[in-house]
Amino acid sequence: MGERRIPGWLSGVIGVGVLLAAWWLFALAFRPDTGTYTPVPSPGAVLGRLVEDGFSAYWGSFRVTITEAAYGFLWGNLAALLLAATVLLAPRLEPIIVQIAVVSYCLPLVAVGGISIVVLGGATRPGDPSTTAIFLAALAVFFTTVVGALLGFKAADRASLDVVRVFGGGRFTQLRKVRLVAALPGILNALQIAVPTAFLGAVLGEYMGATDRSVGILLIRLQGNLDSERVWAVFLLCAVVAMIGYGALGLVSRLVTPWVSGRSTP
Amino acid sequence: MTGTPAVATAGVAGTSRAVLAAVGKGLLNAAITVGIVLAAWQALIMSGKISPYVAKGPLDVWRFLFVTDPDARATAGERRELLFDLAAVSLKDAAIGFVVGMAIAIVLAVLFTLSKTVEAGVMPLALLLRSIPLVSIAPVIILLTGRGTTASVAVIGSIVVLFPALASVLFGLSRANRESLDLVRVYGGGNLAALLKVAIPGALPSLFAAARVSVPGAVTGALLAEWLSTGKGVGGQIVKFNAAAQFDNLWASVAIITLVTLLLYNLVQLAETVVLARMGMSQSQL
Repeated sequence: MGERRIPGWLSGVIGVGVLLAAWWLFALAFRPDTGTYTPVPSPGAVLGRLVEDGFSAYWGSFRVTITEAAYGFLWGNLAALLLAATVLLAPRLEPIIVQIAVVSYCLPLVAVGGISIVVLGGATRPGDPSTTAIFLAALAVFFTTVVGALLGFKAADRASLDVVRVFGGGRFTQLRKVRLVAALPGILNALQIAVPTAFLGAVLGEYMGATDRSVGILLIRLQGNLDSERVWAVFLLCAVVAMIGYGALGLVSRLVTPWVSGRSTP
Repeated sequence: MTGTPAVATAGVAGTSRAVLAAVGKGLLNAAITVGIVLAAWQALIMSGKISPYVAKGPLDVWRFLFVTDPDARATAGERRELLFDLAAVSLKDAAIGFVVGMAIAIVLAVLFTLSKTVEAGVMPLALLLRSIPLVSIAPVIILLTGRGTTASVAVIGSIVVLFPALASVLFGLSRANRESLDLVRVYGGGNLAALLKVAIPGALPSLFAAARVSVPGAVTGALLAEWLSTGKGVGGQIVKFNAAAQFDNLWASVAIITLVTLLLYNLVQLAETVVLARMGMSQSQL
């Protein structure tokens, strides 16, 4: 609607500014009158703590969680893409595939985590990825990738399909030359959304216990020690990791599908 | 949307038949899906990789909920009552998160559409909230709202609901028909008039999609809030079931919550199909 466009850098500055201001206000509003524990430390204190500790102090935990998220991302998306790809062979199955994905989406992650920690277990050795965290990460990304891939598979241009047919190509040639290419932007978009989701799923899985070194267990320990500055430092790092993953996949999709511009054509 | 009255009535009759057909097809597909999922679940249990003490199949859950063994400590009726009561509490909590989250999402989306500056200012905050693990901000939220309060349930639930709903509604508002917008402008309408008369009605498909996707999100948020804050409902009991090795209760409560969520999701979808068919719009996938 609005014809006024504000430049990208300005909106970035406004965003970060408002974010920091809101954080300051929160920190001031919830500053306790007595005692040393501040639930919301000021941005300055948190950044100072982060600089003081250095990133390497947190890397040991993040390495495990990122590994779990990566495995979960891989398995969850692989399963989702395989399931979605069956519509290419049998288009009539689509409503059922959607419903199966919806069932997976309706599974309560918290309760499934409770079962998973008993059935699948956590990390076998300290520093290993937790199976439950991988499972929850995979489960968390499944639905969006199935839906995204299905949308992608439907995106094929009718005229292009007809061109292949006219030149004597069969269904397989159509699939290879048109459908898969047309599906790529949709699939990559779904995969991009899946990156932060996988990370969050992995942390949720770690909260179920049975890990020794991970972001989840680190947060539980820091909260137990009432070390709110480090808790918020981990929050910041989580956001940074999620953004980096999201951005990296966005970059990959730019490279793989250079014909897609940021805006949809009218 | 346009046409002579005769065409319009034919259209209405056609849509109601189309709606009926859609309902029938939806029910059939749902039945097939539930069958497939139950079969897969039973197969997984019978594969023998998991100890039967821990793993319960659909048949076990059914027996647990509806068949009373003579020597059991509790009758099936009592077990049902316990779990259904827990599920009812969780649903109430989910409803709180759903309503608050959707309301905030719609208000924010409208504000963002009216002013790009507001969007630039608030969007990073929403994004940041989305990328911090909720389990870990929950203690902070609980500190601010109080443990076990309705406010904590509302805040945790609405954070889960907010972001996907916001993204979907924003997308819908941004796809307003250009010619209709120009028409409003030609007759002297401003941003607000354009929004009320064109963008919001045009965003209905996305609004419904947002509501549909928010249903499971609201349930997840409610369970999280119960687990970490109130200790009531299914979310609050999961940990206790686990600790007491009551695996029947654990699996049965997951089954009940999943089934109810699935039902609600499909109900929203049904409402969506009916309303959009009446308005002559096509459904938005996500």
